[in-house]
Parts: sequence; C-alpha cells; structure tokens
Amino acid sequence: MAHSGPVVCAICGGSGPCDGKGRETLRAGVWVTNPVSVQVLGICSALAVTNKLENALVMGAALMFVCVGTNLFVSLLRNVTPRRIRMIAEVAIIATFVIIFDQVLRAYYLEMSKQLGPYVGLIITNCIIMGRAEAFALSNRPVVSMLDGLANGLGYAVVLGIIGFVRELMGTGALFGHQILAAEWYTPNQLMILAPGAFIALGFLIALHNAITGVNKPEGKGN
Amino acid sequence: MKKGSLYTILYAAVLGITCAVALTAVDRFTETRKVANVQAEEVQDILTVLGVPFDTQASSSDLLAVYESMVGEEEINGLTFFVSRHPEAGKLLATRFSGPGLLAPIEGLICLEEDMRTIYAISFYRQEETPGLGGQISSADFQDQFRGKMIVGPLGYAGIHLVNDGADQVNEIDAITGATMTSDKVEDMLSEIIKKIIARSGAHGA
Amino acid sequence: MKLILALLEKTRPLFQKGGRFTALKPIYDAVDTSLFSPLARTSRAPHVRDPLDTKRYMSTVIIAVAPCLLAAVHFFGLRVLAMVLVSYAAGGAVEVLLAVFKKDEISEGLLVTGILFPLILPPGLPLWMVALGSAFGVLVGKELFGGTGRNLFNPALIGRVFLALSYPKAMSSGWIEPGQGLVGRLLEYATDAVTMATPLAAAKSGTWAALPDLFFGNVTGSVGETSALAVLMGGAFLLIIGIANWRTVAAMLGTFVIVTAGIYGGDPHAIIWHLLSGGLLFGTFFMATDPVSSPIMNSAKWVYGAIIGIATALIRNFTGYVEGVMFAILLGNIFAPVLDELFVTAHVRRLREEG
Repeated sequence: MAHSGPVVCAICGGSGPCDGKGRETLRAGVWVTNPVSVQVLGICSALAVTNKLENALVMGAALMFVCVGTNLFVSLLRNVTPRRIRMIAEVAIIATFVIIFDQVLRAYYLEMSKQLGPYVGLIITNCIIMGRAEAFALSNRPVVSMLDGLANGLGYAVVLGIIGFVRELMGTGALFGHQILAAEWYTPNQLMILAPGAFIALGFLIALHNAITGVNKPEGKGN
Repeated sequence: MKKGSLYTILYAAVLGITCAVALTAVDRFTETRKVANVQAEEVQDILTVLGVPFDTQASSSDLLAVYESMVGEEEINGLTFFVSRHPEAGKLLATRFSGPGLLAPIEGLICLEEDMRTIYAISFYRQEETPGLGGQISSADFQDQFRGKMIVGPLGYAGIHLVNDGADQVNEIDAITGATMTSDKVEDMLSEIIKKIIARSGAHGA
Repeated sequence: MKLILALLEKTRPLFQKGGRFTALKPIYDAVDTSLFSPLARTSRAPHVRDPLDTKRYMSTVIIAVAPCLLAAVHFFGLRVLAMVLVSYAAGGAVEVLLAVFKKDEISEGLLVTGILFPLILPPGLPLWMVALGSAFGVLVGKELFGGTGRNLFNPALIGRVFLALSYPKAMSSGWIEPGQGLVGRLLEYATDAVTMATPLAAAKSGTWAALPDLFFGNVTGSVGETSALAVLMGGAFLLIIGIANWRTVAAMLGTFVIVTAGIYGGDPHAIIWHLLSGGLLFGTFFMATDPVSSPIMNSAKWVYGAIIGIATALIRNFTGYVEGVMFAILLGNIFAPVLDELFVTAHVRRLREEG
C-alpha cells in the first residue's frame, strides 16, 4: 500500500475525505461501541424482528440505509441548519429515508414488509440513528459521516443477524426457511421464537461481548 | 453565521418541501406495484380456499388475471360470497369470517359446497395465536379436518364443535390439545358466521 | 423431631473421643448436622453460619419431599427416579462447570433444586428436556444472579417456565395415567403409558375429578403434586420444623380460598376441589416458602403469600392456562425485594417516631 501521508485511512488509503478516521470509525461502530451490544440501543426492534434470520438481515439493511442517508444529509447541512430546529430537521430527514425504504419494501417484497410490520416505520424513533446524527454527523464531514452511519448500521445488522441466526435455528430448526436440523431428532425450542427468547439470546451475546473485551470499562463517549 | 427567524422558517420550508417531493416521487414510483400486491394477497387467500390451482410464484398481475377468469362474486342477502366452479366438487362458495382470538383477531375464509351445508375447505389466513398451540389453527393438519364436515349437526343445530374426546359427529372437529381458549374462540366465530349463512340461505337449505 | 434430638444427645458421648464408636463420629456428625444446627460455635470473625444452616435446610427439605417422591414412584413408575437422577446430573454439571470457571466453591443449593425440579414436571416428559430445564434453571435462574442465596427467583420454577414456553406441546401432554391398585406402577418404567388430561384441564371442559382421588393422588398431574396427602405430610413436617414459614402458607392458602369462594359463590365442594388439585399445595409448601426468593420480613410474608394466592386463583379461572401456581409464585418472587424494602422502611419510620 502506498502511504501518502502520516495518517492512513482504511477506505481511501490516504488522509482524503475520511479525515483519517476511517478505520477507527468502522471499528467503533461495529465492535468497540456497538450500538446494540455495548450501548444497548435499538433494542425494541432488535428483539421484535429477530425470530427469523431473513427478517433480521432485512431490518439490519433498513437501518444501514437510513443511517447512512441520514448521516450524509445531516452532515451536508450541518453548517446551514439553524441550531434551534436541528432535531426537527434530523427527524424529517430520518423519516424521509425510513418511508422510502418502507415503500420500496411494500412494493417489491410484500411478504417481508408484512412480517416486519410496524418495525420498519419505527426506525424513525430508533435511538441509534438520531444518536449518530447528533453525536457524529453534526460535527463531521460528509464522507466520514456516511462511514460512521455504515459502521453503526453494520454493527446493528451483525448483532441482529447473530440473534436471528440463533433464534431461527433453535426455534424452528431452519435457516432462511430451509430445514437444517431434521425434525426427527430436533424438537424446536419455541421459547426462542417468542420475545423472551430474544431477551435471553441478546443477554448471552452481550455477556460474550463483555467477556471478550474485558469488564465493562466506561467508554469516553457516553450516549 | 447568525441565523434569524426568517432564515429558520425558510430553511424549514425548503427542507419540508424537499422531503415531501422525495416521498411523493417514491410513492408514485411504487404505487402500481403496491396496489397490485394488496389485491393479489386477498386473491391468493380466496383462490386457495376455493381450490383453484395457481402458481405460488406468480406475479401479482398474473394472480389477478387468474382470479378474474375463475372467480365470481355473489351477494346472498348481505354476505359476499366468492363463487367458482371446481372440476370435481362443482359450485363452491366462500365467504369471510372473523372474530377475536386469544391474543389477536383471527380472520379466515370458509368455503362451502353448493348445498350450503358441507364444508369444502377452511382457511385461517390471519392469526397470531400462541405458536405451537393455538397457532396450529392455520396448519394444514387442522384445516384439512374441516373438509367434508357439515355446518349443521345431526339434530339440526347450527355450528361446528371443537371437541377433545374424538370427533365422531358430522359437525365435530378435534380441538388442539392444550389450546382450549383458542378453540373456544374459533368455535364462537364459526357459529356466528354459520348462523348468518343458514339464516340467509333458506332457499338453498336441505 | 424432639425424640431424634433426645436420642442424638443421649448417644453423643459414645462418639466423642474415648467413646465406644469414635471411629463412626463422621457419620454421627453428618446425621446430627443434617438435622440440627451444630453445637460448635464460631468464636471469632468471620462467623460463618450460613453453610451450616443451608445444609440443614437442604436436608430437611429433602426429607419432607420424600413422601411426594414415593407417591410419585408408586403412581408414575420408576421413570420418576430417572428424572430425579437426570435433573441432578444436568444441574450438577452446570454448577461444576461454573464453579471451575469462576474458581468458586460448589454450593449445596443444587440438592434442593435438583429434587424439586423433576417433581413439578409432567411425569411423561422426555428425559433430555428434564436435563435442559434443570441446566437452564441452575444457570439462568441461579448462577447468573450470583449463586445460591442470591437468586431472585426460584430456580426450579425458572427451569419449568423455560420448558413450558419452549416445549408447550410436550409440557401439556406428558400426563401419564396414574397406576392403579396396591402396586401401582412401582415395577414399571412407564414410557408409553396412556396419557390423559389433568384434573384442572378436564374441569375446563366440565369433568371434575373425585375428591378422594385428588386427596390420595389417583389423578395425573406434575410428578410430585399428585397426592395431596403426601404433600401435606411433607408440608406439615416443614411447618413444624420451621423451615416453611407459616405466615406465607396461611396468607397464600387463605387468599386462594377467599378468591375461589368468590368465583364459585362459596360452594364448599369447589373450594376444596381447587385446594387439592394441581400444584397449589406443592407450590405453597415447597416453592413459595423458599427462604431465598421470599421476603425476609415476617410482615412482608403476609402480603407476599396473598399476592401468590390471589394470582393463582385468578390465573386458574380466567386465563388460557389451566394452572397458575408457577406464574403466581414467580410473580410473588418479583415483589419480594420490593415488599421487604417497603416494610423495612415502614418499620424504621415507626421506630423513629416512637423513640
């Protein structure tokens, strides 16, 4: 890799538009300050839609889309948005992206739209998106803001994917609707497809995360 | 930069209009597909319960075409019946029913043969009962039990009964073990629609 | 109990140094400390009193539960013993693993949980489910809260709720028909015995089991709850020894009778029937009175018992569940710390005002 400057960005290989924060931003969103397993945000939807792996992944994609889009526009507008109405402006941008995703889902993937029910629409109130817009996009340049949105959306999607994997496999013995564990010897654990199963799975996941990273050390960044 | 009230209002207006325009564009763009999807969904339930063969992977517009060509609608004293002619079973009539379930409302379709007494098929297409217990009402095993049963008992009482000790009457179905409440609710909503059907189909009656 | 104490006191010198049976002292001590608190007093800090008390508590409960276990073997066959073994093995494995992981001691808490857990399951439940439930109960119900003595909920009930939600079909259909006659199923393993509806489930569709059957246990139901007589024997033992707190028992059964009487218009047959059927008595004596998950203050125990009694009657009669004891006790467990807090605060305030 050709290093053109002292700061190396994971994405552009230079100090370009990521402001040298590329790798750090990605790592923070996916692992260090993972919005779900560390900050415990966006739990409502994480618990509600993860009974199937496919649902969990589509939901993760939705959040990634909204988070990237919102961060981009909030960042672009950060110097012209009046402070007084910045939160309302953010909500308007978030809502626009959420509805776009919802409408497209309804038109091209009705089955999924029905299964996700109100939870796509409820992304508007998802703390992760508002949190990233406020905490990051409002004070960073567009490209790195998008990267932050992508990282946090990815962090959310990965956690949802893991929970969805565990819940669908244990709860129905299937993955993506295909039977993996034969019904002859595997009795599906129906608790896993109910809400308590999501709580239990998430609890164990957070415990695992904490075990790997060491005890809950207070991070510099609060929320 | 000092931003005054006028600027704020202007900013809000521009942002609002931009968002509105974007949303309208998306809505226009997806509208035809959305409408077709909703219709196709209703149509799919009806085709299934009437026993009309169709390709499950078919697009919404194909499904609608099948529906248009195969199914008619008949108003029999206030109840809308979806009517079609089955190659073996003859004329079939299906109507919607609904009622409260244990956890959420249950909706379904009941399809009768021409005598308006024999059940051809039943479908609980919308339910959110306990998975594995009450949720089994939408399983094929449970729904297939209804096939060929009568909506009137041997003594002339209207209604389908879900029983635990072996369904041996023409209007009895094996209830789901461990789902007493769901079974009761299903029984109630069925007897409600059956009473309406019988009251309004005197001319067809046996 | 007094008799045993007297006997032990009388024979003590025989086992002391120089006595005739000095070599057998460990056995004497085991019997002695299992039933009564030891003579030895710690003389300086730390005054480790808990392990001894816990051990005594554990053994007493196991003695109390013996009649239920015998009745269960009689009615449901040798399978019951296999369930107990599996429950101990699975719970024990989790306990040992965690002890190694946390570099901690293995506690005796499992002794009680391990035997109570199979007793609240349907007798026909597959053994692997028994194992899974026991492991889950010990892990999530107890160890995650910090181990024996720190659990908020009764671990055995956590295990049962887990199974009831995970495998509703198996948990609502494994009701083996009880064995008949003098021998019952004592000599059978009873894997493919006929299953039937429990009295409470049957009552919902209008068939009420006879009272004598309920009393002696000639009905199906969870392993340990079938014979009201056996449960009452064990319960009486616990009450006399003082392990089960009579306030909890009185409040729970009292409110249950009152609410049931209200629902059935005071019909005495219905009240007695409901008292004897299902897991009410077993839950009252062996589950609700668990000293760890019930409140500590005596005054709070009244409210705690009342919450469980009322909830049980309401769940039984007005929901889709035929039996409500399990959920009711867990509900009571949730309230236990809050009740203690409330009653302690009130008590402290009263003391302040007085003095």
